[in-house]
Amino acid sequence: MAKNAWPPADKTVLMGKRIARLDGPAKSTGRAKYAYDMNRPGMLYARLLSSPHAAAKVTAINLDEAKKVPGVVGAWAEIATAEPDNEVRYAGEIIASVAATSEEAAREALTKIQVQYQVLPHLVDDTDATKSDGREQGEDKPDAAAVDAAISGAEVKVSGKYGLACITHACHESHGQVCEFGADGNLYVWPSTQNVSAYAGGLKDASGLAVNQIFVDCQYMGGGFGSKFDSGRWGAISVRISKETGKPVKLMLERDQELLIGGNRPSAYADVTVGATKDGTISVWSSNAWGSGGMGGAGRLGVPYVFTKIPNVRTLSKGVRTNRRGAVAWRAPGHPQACLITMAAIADLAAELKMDELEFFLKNVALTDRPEVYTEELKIAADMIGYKDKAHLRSNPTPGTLKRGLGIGIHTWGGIGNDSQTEVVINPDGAVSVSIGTQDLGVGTRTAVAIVAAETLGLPLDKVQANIGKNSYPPSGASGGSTTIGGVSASTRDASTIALNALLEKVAPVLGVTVDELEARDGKIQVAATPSKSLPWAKACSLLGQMPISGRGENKRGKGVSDGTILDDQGVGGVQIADVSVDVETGQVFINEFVAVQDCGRIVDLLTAESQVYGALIMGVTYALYEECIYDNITGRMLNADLEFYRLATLADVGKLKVHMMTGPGYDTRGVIGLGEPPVIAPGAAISNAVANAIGVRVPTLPLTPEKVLAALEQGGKLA
Amino acid sequence: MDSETPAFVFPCKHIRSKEMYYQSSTDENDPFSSGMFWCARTHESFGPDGEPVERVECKADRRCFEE
Amino acid sequence: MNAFEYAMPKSIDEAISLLSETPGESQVMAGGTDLVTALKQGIVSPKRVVSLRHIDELKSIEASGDGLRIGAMATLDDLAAHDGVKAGAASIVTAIKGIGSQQITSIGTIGGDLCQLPRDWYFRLGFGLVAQYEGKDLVAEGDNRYHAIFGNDGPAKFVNASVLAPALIALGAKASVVGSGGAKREIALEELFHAPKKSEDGNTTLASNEIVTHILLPLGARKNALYHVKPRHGLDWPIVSAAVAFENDGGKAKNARGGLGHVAPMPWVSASAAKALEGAALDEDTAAKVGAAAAEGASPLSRNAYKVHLTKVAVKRAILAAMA
Repeated sequence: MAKNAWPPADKTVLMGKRIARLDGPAKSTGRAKYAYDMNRPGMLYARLLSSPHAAAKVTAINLDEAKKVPGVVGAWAEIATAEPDNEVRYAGEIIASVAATSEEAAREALTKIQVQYQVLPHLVDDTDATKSDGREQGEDKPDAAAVDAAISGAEVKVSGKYGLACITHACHESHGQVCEFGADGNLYVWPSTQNVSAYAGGLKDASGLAVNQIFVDCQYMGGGFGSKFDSGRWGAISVRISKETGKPVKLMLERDQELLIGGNRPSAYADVTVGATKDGTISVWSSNAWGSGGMGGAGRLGVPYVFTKIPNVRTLSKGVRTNRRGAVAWRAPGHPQACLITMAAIADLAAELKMDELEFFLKNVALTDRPEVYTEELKIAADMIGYKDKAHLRSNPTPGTLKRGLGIGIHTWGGIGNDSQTEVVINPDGAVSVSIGTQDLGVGTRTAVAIVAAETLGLPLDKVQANIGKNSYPPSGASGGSTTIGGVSASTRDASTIALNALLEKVAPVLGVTVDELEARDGKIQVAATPSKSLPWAKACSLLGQMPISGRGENKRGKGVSDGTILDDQGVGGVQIADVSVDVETGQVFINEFVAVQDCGRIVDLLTAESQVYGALIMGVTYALYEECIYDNITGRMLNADLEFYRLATLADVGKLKVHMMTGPGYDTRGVIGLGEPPVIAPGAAISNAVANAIGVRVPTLPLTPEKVLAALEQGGKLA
Repeated sequence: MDSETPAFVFPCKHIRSKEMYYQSSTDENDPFSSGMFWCARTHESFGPDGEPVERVECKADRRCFEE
Repeated sequence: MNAFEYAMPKSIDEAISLLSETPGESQVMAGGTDLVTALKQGIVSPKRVVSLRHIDELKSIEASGDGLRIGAMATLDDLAAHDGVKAGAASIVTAIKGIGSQQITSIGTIGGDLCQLPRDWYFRLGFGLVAQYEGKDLVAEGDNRYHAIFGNDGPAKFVNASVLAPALIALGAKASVVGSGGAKREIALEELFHAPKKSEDGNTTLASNEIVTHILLPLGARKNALYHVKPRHGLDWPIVSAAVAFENDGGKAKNARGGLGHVAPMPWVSASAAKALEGAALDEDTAAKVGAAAAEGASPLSRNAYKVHLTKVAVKRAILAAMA
């Protein structure tokens, strides 16, 4: 009988190998259809009008002229014009909608809508908590006199201000969906979502249907990063318009709206004091942090990050309510912020001690939850980047105007598998279908599902059809918290094993052995001890007669650990080291090399795992050097809601990226662990530390723009 | 019921967090949970009354609360 | 975007006849790399767009006297690949390569680059070239990190977006302009630009029914180079650029000219820098001194003083590159 637990890593045929995405050709040829590509007969194009004011009350909306534009089918107010529900709280907030037979007509109609606003005072600047007009929220943890004593008693200490600007998800595929009411009265939806199985719940009220009448289909999607769980107001509005007009509707956010209202990663700033003994052991941490998640909460900020066993710790934290779109989970919510603030302060402490940064990190790994992992990863990362040859103390910069430096960041994440169910059907002709209501955000989930099923059934990959992206398939959790790969791998392994065992029941008597003696391998069902005794897969499946068999597998959070199968697991560490050059005359930062060493337990597909890390490094370079939602204090508007001044790194900017996945004993003997967030946590910290090492002074906040680098050099008396 | 056990308070039915969509149980103190919430009515991080959506904030004394 | 007529004239005269005398009514389109976005965003809402893409005589690059006569519709790629440009105007090649986008350089044109609208974010949000909001000068009181450090004493504080103008000005280029009734005029390139007093005045000195037809670029044995500071290696616009051209007269600069980009509402000609370079020994010390001279008279706004520093550096590096 086949067992649920993973086979040993050295016995696998597919799992852990480098396997290209199954849908790569479809994506690169354009055959893959994204939500934006869906077109239905008679479809209307809907567009949304955003508020130009950050704080206002809407007193009147006139849609008459918009309705007169040729091709316009309807226009609707999306906010009340009377108290108390007529308040606008951020620029970009949705005010009205239009639907037309062409995109052009819809856009023109938006310009004809007349809205009267009573403008109110706003606050968009979150960089200075003392100027927040009493908009702070959050409770300070009680003061600890022991911390004051530890600070004054510390043999070495540094104080600094660190922070990161608010950024947005900037999904390449904007938020939205195509929807259509069928003749059967059901609602069919093609959204861009990271939440296929539960997406329909958000459309229940707008459609007036029960969730079982809403059919969701998302085969491909172009980036979510945490911002595509909710169907959004745009989702509800498009369903309402479709219901009212009786036409299919496409509503995708325009690029400026995507940047304005698609989602915000909260800013975080902190005044930090950190101390150590003379030999370089961190002894005390004190921080006073603030940040803004728009008009909602700012989320969690867990500092000190990773070094959670520092003996004396005081953390104060508050959120500042600003007139911006609210915080939306962005890959590893709170972690990139906590990582930058912690690693920067700690690297400054190492510099103050005139101690090598790597040596300092190694010395203090005892203050983390996984000292062995970090030690091993730090050493590998250092070797990969040539640390020994390149490293220098911050006080001893390289000559010339192009200064070179190294910087380290380390991170952690949970990544336990999500709640997930898979159904595996083995047909009498040997064809295998795997169905699961998960989604592939572009990272290779579809491929991973197929790999696990094929590995379990002993089949080549092309014999398995992986069906994902529909809520009519068995429910599988949304892709958040790096929980997808653990969840889908566990439920797919479980389902495949159950289905296989049903097949083995048929095969055992034919081969004259017990079920326990059989295994599926190399396209055969064979006796494990005497592989020559076997049936080819198709022949074995013919024993099913005319009826397919199926297995329904399930994962529940924590099941892989509690039931001893260790199909999934949680808790990873990663180390990143950046090698940068900084032009100290222009303030430009250039990435030379960037190394990531990452563990994620048992690897399903080494190629897509590495690819996930490469992507994270690119996203990390982007927020370290370029990204920032720039708001205008006078008008309250976002000044760079475009991809021109909201800069994303191009390939020319990311330098040479090197990825090393931890494998072998202690790693692939663990369960499968998610990889979506961990590698994107440390880049800001590593790059900021590398810049500090290069130029001899800390640039306090990300992004590290020429303007800020020059200002830091000037303040440090180091401007050339 | 043990008198020490506080009565279970149903949160507002419109509160949402991403964690609700991928695990059947949530741990408030999980360092890997986002601590970010939205309202299913407004699809914003603030409720219909303009106040922030938070597990502890979305309670019966708000005009928009629904059990 | 509003509905508009799209005209595709085959000749310069036909193009002129299709343009309105009233500003804003018609809009000339060259490569369209920026105009299409501006149309979609409602930054411009003309009744008619007049494309110059079908006028063949505007596309050629021809030898003329000691230089080149470049059609306004010559693409940036054509320009960068032209042997005469490569040999005599390295600064132009640097500027084009610096754009970092094959998509833009393959369809974008020299005329479009020169006449393009500013990328100032207040302008792009619809507040006008002279960005005002409730009686406030948005640039002066707002986020001016990318704005003008020279020529900003008037109401306009955006920076000219042309990447080619500084190099063309340094090389002494002229613009050939045709207007109403086929009237032709030839102007020094720097005269093509102005800082408007009112938003409606536009960022060039062209009448609404005038077009730039050709650029006359003198080529000679001049050292020339351009240096720009861009945030990204890939597609991006310079924060500051500096172009220089001079003859090497026995180790000394002669007939020195220069142009600064992205520092003023128009490409900026620094008389103090040219004066400092003229007759000076071609060495590092001179490069630094000329850089400092270029920054003279700068009037940075609340948060763009770093651009003054970048100007010094860009000028110094442009001179060093030209010397090399």
